[in-house]
Amino acid sequence: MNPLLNCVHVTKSFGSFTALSDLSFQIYPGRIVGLLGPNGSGKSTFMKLASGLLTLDQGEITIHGHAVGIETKKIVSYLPERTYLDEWTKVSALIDYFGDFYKDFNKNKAYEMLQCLCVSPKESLKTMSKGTKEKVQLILVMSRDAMLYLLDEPIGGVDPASRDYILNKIITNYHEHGSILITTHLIQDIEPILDDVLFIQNGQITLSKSVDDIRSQEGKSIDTLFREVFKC
Amino acid sequence: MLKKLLKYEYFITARYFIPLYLCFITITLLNKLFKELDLMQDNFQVFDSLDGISKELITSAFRNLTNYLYALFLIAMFLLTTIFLIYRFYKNMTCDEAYLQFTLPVKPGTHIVNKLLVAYTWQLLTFLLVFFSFIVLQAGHGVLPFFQSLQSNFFRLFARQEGQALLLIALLFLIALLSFLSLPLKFYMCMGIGQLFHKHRLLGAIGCYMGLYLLLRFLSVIFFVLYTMFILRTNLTFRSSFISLNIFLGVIASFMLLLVIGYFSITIHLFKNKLNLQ
Repeated sequence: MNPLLNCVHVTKSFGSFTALSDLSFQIYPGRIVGLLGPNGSGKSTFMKLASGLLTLDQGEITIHGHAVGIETKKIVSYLPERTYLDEWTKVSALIDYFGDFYKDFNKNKAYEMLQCLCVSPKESLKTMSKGTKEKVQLILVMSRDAMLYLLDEPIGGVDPASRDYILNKIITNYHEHGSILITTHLIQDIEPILDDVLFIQNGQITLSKSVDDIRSQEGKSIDTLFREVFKC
Repeated sequence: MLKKLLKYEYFITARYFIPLYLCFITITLLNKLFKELDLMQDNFQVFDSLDGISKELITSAFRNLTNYLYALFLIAMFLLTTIFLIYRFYKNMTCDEAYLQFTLPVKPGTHIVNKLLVAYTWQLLTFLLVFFSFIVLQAGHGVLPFFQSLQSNFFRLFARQEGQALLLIALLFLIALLSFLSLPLKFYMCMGIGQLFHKHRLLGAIGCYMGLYLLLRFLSVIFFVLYTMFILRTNLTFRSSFISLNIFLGVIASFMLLLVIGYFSITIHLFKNKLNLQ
């Protein structure tokens, strides 16, 4: 089976600081993958490279056989860790915006999720709390029928009840041809839905295994293993 | 995709410009009203009960106030138009909102063209609004005869050189068009360079702009010196003819065209191949 995302010898530096160093891994279709690591390990940098928001210094990232560009942006749904929407725009207008630019955007799904998470489509982001803004962004991203979802800290600022709903939505968005790559520090919450785990430190992959293999071989949860591996 | 981008860009930028234009139109109309009141104060019975000094104070005070506000808004119109357009590009293409823009399935060049077309539109509208405000203020006080006299004097000056006259008008229009394009493009390019810096991106963009400004000033001084030397060495007939003026404007227009092409190419290259969002 061909990998959906193929990362080959990727290096990215910011001045004298090397964020990613000779990074190589693959993500196969139908997998939910956790990219886990301490702060500053290069998780967000990789997400931005795969989304086309940064340019590589060396190496190659291909998604569904295409180099990062217009063709990959049509099939990749990216959620950054920051508020990236115009705050004065109403949620309903944002839904129309996404619907205009992404052919795979499902407006009905978006409105359904807004209702479940008690977010009014008539309000603008300016009037919302940080957590509600994050919910709106997540709803917009998850309402696309993308091949690859890149979710950078999707549940960080969201209340526990909404987290369960979001995690459930992530699983239900899963389909055999698509994959999801998630970064998060809330490993305990995300662990039940993960298929594979990538540990990243100092811009390099230190572990690449399935969750089942870790549990059977290490006899530990991902959260426990993470705390051991990255112990300060 | 460009049409879709334009739709949203015009809608969002209208939030800044419509209120500005409405304020300017209001001030223009108030200025006109109090100007006419001041001129026609003797015709209004309401002023009959006031003595001459009070009448003068009231009408002139309002007229002076609205004159002052009009002058202020005139400066604000051009200044704020430029500031709004630069701020919009900065916020939408280099800050957090750029995370959305550059993950859309749209080429970076299309984004730049979108921003440029919208910037051109608002600059042109600002210019036209200011121009028509002058017409409104002078309406009824010899505006039409003024323009008729301007036109006849212009063509008398260019008697038997109608071709040169038309070329002069065309070159002036071209220079105006190119200036509406080069101003925002210069800022876009500087912001594109600024985003390459890992730290102090805004300072980097400002530094780039200052450097470019000094370079262009230096080049324009060199050009004027060389052109003046060239003109002084030519014969009087050529010097006084409009051909030399058109050559001068033609060189300026060509240089501006090269600058516009250069700014545009560099900006697209930076956002396509050197994107470095924080």
